[in-house]
Amino acid sequence: MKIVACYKIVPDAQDIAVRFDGSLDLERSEWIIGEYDLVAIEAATRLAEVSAGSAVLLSAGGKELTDSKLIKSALSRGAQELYCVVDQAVANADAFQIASVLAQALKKLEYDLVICGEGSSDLYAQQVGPLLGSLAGVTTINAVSKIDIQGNAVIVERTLEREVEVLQLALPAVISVTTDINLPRIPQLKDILAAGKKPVTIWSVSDVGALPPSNVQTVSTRAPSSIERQQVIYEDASEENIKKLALDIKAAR
Amino acid sequence: MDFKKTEEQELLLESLRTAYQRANLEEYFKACDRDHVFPEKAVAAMVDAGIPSLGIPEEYGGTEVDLLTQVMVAEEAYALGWPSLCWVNYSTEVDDILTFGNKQQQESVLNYALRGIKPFTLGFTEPQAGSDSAAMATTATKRDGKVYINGNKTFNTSADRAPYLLCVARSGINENPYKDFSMYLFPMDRPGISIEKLDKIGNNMCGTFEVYLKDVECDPSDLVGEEGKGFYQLMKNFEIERTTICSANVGMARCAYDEAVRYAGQREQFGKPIGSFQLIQEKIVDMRIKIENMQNMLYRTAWKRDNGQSISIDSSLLKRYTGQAAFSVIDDALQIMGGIGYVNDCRISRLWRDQRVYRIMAGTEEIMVHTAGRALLKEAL
Amino acid sequence: MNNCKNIWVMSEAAKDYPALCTLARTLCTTEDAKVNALWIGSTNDQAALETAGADRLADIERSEEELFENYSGCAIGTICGDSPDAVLLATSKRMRLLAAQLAAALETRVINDATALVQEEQGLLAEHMVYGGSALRRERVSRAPAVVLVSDSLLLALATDDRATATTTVSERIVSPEGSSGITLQSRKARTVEAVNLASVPCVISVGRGFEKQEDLQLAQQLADCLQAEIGCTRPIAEGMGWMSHERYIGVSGAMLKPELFIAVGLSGQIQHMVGANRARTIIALNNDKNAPIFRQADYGIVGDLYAVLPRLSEALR
Repeated sequence: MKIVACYKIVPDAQDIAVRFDGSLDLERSEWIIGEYDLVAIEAATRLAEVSAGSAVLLSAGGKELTDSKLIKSALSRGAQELYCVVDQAVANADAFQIASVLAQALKKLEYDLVICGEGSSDLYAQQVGPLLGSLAGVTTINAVSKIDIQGNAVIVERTLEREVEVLQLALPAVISVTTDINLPRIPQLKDILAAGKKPVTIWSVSDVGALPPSNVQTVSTRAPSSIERQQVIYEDASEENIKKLALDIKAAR
Repeated sequence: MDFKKTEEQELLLESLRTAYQRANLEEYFKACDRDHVFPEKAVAAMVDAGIPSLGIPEEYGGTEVDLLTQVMVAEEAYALGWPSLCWVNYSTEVDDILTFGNKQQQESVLNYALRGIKPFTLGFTEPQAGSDSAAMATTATKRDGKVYINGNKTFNTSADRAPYLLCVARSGINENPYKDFSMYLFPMDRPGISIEKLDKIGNNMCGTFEVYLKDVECDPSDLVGEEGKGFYQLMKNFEIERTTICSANVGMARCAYDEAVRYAGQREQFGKPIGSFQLIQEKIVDMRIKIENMQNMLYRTAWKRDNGQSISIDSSLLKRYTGQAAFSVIDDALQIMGGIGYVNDCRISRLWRDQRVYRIMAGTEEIMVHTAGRALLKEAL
Repeated sequence: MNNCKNIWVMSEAAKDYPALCTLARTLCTTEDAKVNALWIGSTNDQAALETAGADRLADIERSEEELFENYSGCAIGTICGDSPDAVLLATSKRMRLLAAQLAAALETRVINDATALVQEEQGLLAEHMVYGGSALRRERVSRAPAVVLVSDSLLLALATDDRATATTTVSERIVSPEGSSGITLQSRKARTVEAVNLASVPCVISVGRGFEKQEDLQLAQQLADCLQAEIGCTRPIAEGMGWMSHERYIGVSGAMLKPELFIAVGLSGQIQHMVGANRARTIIALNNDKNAPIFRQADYGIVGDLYAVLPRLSEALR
């Protein structure tokens, strides 16, 4: 089975700072692979292993995507090859635009199954997978928590809010997987060393098609106003302090 | 000159950090330290992440990598809070056996190392022979085609867990003790071996023992390297050991520094963070200088070894300097923490107890003067 | 988008329609604007839907045994064929998929998880969280149609419009052609979802990785018993360790709460978690690391080992 896993690189949320005016400072944030996308990569790799197939990676983004450490990081997780569409215009693209570019790129690849993460770790719109499948005109499903290959059929479990569906998918298909489908592997040194030798194909947007316009404009991105807190901190857990804290809790109820 | 880590080294360190964080070890280490138990669960997490395989040849299932990367990984683990004497990458033991061991010895030792198990405890120090190695009295006596070991070793780390003893003993073939030592590798469960635990002030997670050897029967094939060359082999072992253990000095110092500096920025006294006081800032600056120095020395020594240069002087300088510098950094970190630093709940108190032994073990800092001092004078002539 | 006079609303649950219709009305720019409701489901809910406040109800009949997604094509065809200015969907996993399919057909993107949605002079303005809760992003739709997934919290906050019951709803039954989603439903089982709704309880204790073993969570339970509180957790506890069900996970991709009292035990206070609890009236923190960010977000806090503090705190509250 030929499998494609998609990923997005995102600024590491841990290092996002808020400026005094409430705007965000992303400068100290390193680019990392989205944590939900690591799950998609892992799912693709495991599936390729059990189906004696192949797993390749596909991404679209700005020039940061071609950072060789990030490429090695992506390829150290089991996939054989990487394709990426790199263009500054894609760096700030919205989910529809990214999905369009990915759908165009997908036409250049042979695939049975495309696996996306549940959402990106920065915007978490959970839209690229469903949009990609719709735009590619193939079977599309989200919230997949288990994948089984039975002969030529792909059977998935889909975990919704109140029910679990067992679905058989006609291929090709695009699926988004939930985080409980697996725990992504930790790359070992031999995987990291091997990653540097794997083929990488870089396309520009015009190589695959074109970036559609967006009909939504960002007005502002600001940290939400926070509630002023009392900030009474007892620095040691003495009997007296515990009693004080208990009184604070009682008063707050 | 390039001070940047390679991308591969950075990614490997990221993997280490992920494995460490996933295993949720902080509380666990605290409990192991309190209960004096070896942190098996933590080791298992590192084995899953493939860390022990670093530096073991591919033919034995490992991943070949230079000593520099190995010390960086160990340093990072200690900086995250890994307990000393418990690291899973047995670079010294692996190097020993690859240099001097026979095929069969290599297979069994490397197989244990691959699984994060300390393959052997080194039987070198004896009650009357510490820095004065020539005073070693354990004997290896040949009789009826066998070799019998008799003697008493001490300060054997992990003698309760390590499957083998690498025992240094006098063969009785040369008057000059330096030309009389031989090394034997044999399982710790052989008849005639008994151990007794020492009650130490720190390093609670790794037991240290006295080992008694009474007519322990060995086969001549248990010999490691050449008969009578044991002392020379030991010196080679020490160069590597002195380098690799110093990653603990650098890492533990970083661990204490990180915690103390964060605290200095938060803890308020007299209405401002204590970090705003110059007496605290001076400590922080001097701690940082020592850390930078230690790290540079450590990396350079490993780099020299990787590039085939002699590290006999470097390893002694490194061992002496980092042992003292790390001790002073951790001590200052504890001082910055104040009373909190002295309670067992604070990790720095463990580092303070545990690091002290690095100024003693694997060659005291005084012996480092002895080994490097003569060589440096010779170098100047 | 200065003209908004044809809006469609849709949800998986009939109960969401009154709020959706109310929201839709606030976005209309003309008196004669139409609010249309689309429903895929059984006719049992007909009566409730007809009094939800829509001008028109398009009812795509589906029996419970059939896969919802096989009717998505029909729903999308119906909505797209009516040239909508906006489509509002109540957020759920199914609706996320359907919204994307709709957006693909309309060649636009979806505005997801909108926590605020207003009609302004320059067009529709929406607000939603980004960067794991670190920021709120405001976005404007510059060209119709707009496809919006409306967050639960926005729907809950909407009082049903008086006009709702007064509106006469014209119903039409739509028979879907044979589904062609490429998906065959093999079986379906109800999830053994833990019957806990953290959003509805006044006091929540959240636990993090400061707990070493799953059994140790009983220390938090003892405190919860004293306070009639429910226990929630950080993502690693629910997903990495699997010690608690997803329903108890608080944070950006989990429950979003606004309790009277929130007690954080053994967690550092990362934004991805705290975004689900930082609207609490009072926040209490217990952590052994004085430098943990949680203390900067707390009203009251105590630095100490949770294993030592929790039992004594429970005792003091008993």
